[in-house]
Amino acid sequence: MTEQEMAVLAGKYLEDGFTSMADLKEKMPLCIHYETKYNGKERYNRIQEIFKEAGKKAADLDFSQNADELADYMAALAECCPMVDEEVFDHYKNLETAFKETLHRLADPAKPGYVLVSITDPEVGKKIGKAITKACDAAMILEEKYRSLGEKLEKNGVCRGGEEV
Amino acid sequence: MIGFQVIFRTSRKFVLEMEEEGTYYTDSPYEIYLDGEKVMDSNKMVQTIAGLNPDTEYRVAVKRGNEASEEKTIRTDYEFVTLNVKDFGAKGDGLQDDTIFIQAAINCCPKDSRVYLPKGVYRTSALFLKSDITIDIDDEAVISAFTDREKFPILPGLIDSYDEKSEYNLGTWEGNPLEMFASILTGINVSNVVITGGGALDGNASYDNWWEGEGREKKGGAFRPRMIFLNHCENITVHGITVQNSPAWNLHPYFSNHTRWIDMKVLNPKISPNTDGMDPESVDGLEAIGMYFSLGDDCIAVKSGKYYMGNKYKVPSQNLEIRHCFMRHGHGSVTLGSEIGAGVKHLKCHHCIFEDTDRGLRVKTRRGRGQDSIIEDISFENIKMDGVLTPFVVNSYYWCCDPDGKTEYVSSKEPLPVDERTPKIRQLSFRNIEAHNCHVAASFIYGLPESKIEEISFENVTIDFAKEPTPEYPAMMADIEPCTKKGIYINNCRKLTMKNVTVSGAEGKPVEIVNVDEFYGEEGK
Repeated sequence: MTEQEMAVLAGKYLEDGFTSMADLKEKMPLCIHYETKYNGKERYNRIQEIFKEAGKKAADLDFSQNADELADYMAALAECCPMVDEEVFDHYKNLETAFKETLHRLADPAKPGYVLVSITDPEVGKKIGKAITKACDAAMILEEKYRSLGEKLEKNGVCRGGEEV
Repeated sequence: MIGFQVIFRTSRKFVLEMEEEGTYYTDSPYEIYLDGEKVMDSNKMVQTIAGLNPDTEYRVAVKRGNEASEEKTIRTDYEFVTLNVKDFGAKGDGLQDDTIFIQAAINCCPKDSRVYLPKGVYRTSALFLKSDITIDIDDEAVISAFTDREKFPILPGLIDSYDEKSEYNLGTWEGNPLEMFASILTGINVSNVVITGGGALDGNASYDNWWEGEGREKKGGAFRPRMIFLNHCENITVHGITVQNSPAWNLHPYFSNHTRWIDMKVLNPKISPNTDGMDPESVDGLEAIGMYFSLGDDCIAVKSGKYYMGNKYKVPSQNLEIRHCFMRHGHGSVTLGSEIGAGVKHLKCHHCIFEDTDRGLRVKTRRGRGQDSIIEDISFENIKMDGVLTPFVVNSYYWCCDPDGKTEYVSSKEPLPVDERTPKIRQLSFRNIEAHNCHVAASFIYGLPESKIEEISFENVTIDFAKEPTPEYPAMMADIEPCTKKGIYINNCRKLTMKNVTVSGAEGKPVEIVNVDEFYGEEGK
């Protein structure tokens, strides 16, 4: 994709916002990439607004009913957070914090490897596992606590609440 | 009546400060006597007397012509032992890497003792301080830093706690908790440290190493180190040494309290990137006394972090006193910002000389610094300026050094909603100030329309212009043009007082005030 093509798409995506978490996951990485690399981070504030809206929506979802949407949300955060210029540190940290908060609704931070809720759809579980592994790679979360969980979920896809994965 | 106070002492020296109305220099020279014998002449308000013995009483007096001070008895501090770094294997030959040998001496140094660097050139990378120590750098000693990044450890920015409830911050870069190389002298959580001497710390930085490509980018995994970096330290005094050719900022007390910086020189070439002299950042209690600055960026820049650090920790820089300092060459002589996420409060700068700097007092802030970014109770008194481009600059639209600096959000002169990102400037006071041979503007003060500067006061201020002024932008912001001989310009202020203010030689109005709610004084004098 050329820079000009990216510019057009990023402009449209940022104006439209997101319609679903899948939409967020698909569109926001391009927007962050374009703003960071080509557009002088001019619309970073707009990206933050979009993720803030997504965060409010995510807060009303729960893993038992809406695991797929939350998986897309986590995937969007894991993909986008490392792309934020760290010198706009609060923007970077906002996305990292959003990921951690969502993760802590699934995985017990006091008991590494244990999950709080069940994931029954293997494709959804694998998506979540991949997002966790990616977040470990990007040092968004503590690798020693979560990498094993991420890798197991990525492999098996399912887990039972209250048990170690 | 001539008089003095002893403001600092060690086992081997003390520092006196004259009790009279000087500004870095005394109005006329004086003589210093120890035990009845003249030891030196001086013309400085702050003078070090060295070469003394530990735990010894000295009778001290100063004289000028027929006038003599009261004779005071000063006792030098007790000293247990001196650890000579050469006894630990340091060579000081300008070749050997002496880091580990000097570090060994530091680590072994007991309380009430000193690590001594005798004459020599000591090549080092990063040295780490410990508590309850004195480091004494001989007049003819230089700590000469390597410039290879591979030799310097990295201080990580933020490390998450295991329970994920808190974090540990080591490194920092321009107000954000980011990876940085450990500095030439680093203190992490140390207290009761004295670094003294007549010698030098030389960073050896140049455009062939640290400053390559303007040096702003992270390279080798971390940002550039400082010369002295103090992170969460307490009761630290740095005295007498010369600090020069720094990779980035020179002196950086960071979340550190009760630090004193006395009779030092801070030197960098005029064209050197980000070589601020001193950057107190989220500090409480700081004195800068008798310092001399000549460098490539702000001489003293007081900070408290960008939005993340300011908003999370809310630690302003406060209770600072800057006196008898000489700022010669630099951007701002005393700057507040631009990273002031947690504000700056109670700063007094007095009896200083600002010469050939771009600005005298410089405030840099902008939308986005946050509602905790409050500048409060800032006073400048008894200042002599010569050749300063613009003596007083307050820029609420600072566009540098942030990715969104040139966006409409930062630059708009129309009022935007006041929200959690809007900074505030409260009281600024300027008294007994002479500024001669200015170039650009007598003053350029521009607040935000939605959050005006609350109070500005000028009293006994005299400003005139150079015969051949150099045009320049009065502030780093959008929508203004370079100028020369502009008068006092103040925009967006609630209360402005001007008493006995004279601007000579301005082109156009000597005083122009816009959007000022209450004005007390004589406009147009």
